[in-house]
Amino acid sequence: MTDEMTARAARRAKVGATLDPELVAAVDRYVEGHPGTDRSGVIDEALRLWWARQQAEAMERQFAAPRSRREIEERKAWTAVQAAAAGRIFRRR
Amino acid sequence: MDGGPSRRRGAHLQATVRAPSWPRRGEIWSVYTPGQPEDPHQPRPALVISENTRNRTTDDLTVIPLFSGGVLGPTRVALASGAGGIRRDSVLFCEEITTVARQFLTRGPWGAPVNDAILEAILRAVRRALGEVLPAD
Repeated sequence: MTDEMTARAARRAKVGATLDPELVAAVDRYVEGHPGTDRSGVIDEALRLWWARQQAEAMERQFAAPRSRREIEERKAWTAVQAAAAGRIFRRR
Repeated sequence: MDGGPSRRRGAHLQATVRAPSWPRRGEIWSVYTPGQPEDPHQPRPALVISENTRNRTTDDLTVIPLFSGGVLGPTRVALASGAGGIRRDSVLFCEEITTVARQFLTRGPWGAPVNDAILEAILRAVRRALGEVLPAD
């Protein structure tokens, strides 16, 4: 666990939520069968997976967005810089 | 490198005039490809993200490319005019993080280093670019 995760765990938020009873029952069955787990941990994991999908979708939108002519020109300039920088790094290795 | 079309195209960025020094973390500098003076879109601005001991003592450093626009997203950080010395709102493309030789830096710093909140946002955007899942800032 990273320091950041430890710090986050130390300042956990308590929330109330209305959930699908079938899912709650499934969570409870899982917790009963897996010592050391609890509802909060399962819900945390579910939210992490949800956020991972949100981030992935946002990443898709970011990279699929049309580029302006100016961005294309600036990108070309950066590609030249990056190619020269990479060439220099790998030549000296 | 300081004159001609490249200077005009980058006119929304204003460099401060200061005696040459080593680049500090959080500062914005102009970056170019040595030996390619014909590229009208260079130099390009970039924010120095590498740690200062390295910046001071080694011949290379790590930068985040700065674009004059672009779609925001998990690996992008908006930089408002004034931050780091820029004159127009810009976007840091953190997925394009790059290590360059010090000799690639041609002018700078544009202004004072950006604040810690921006640096933190940049680090989180870089981490997302490397595959980590992190909530929005």
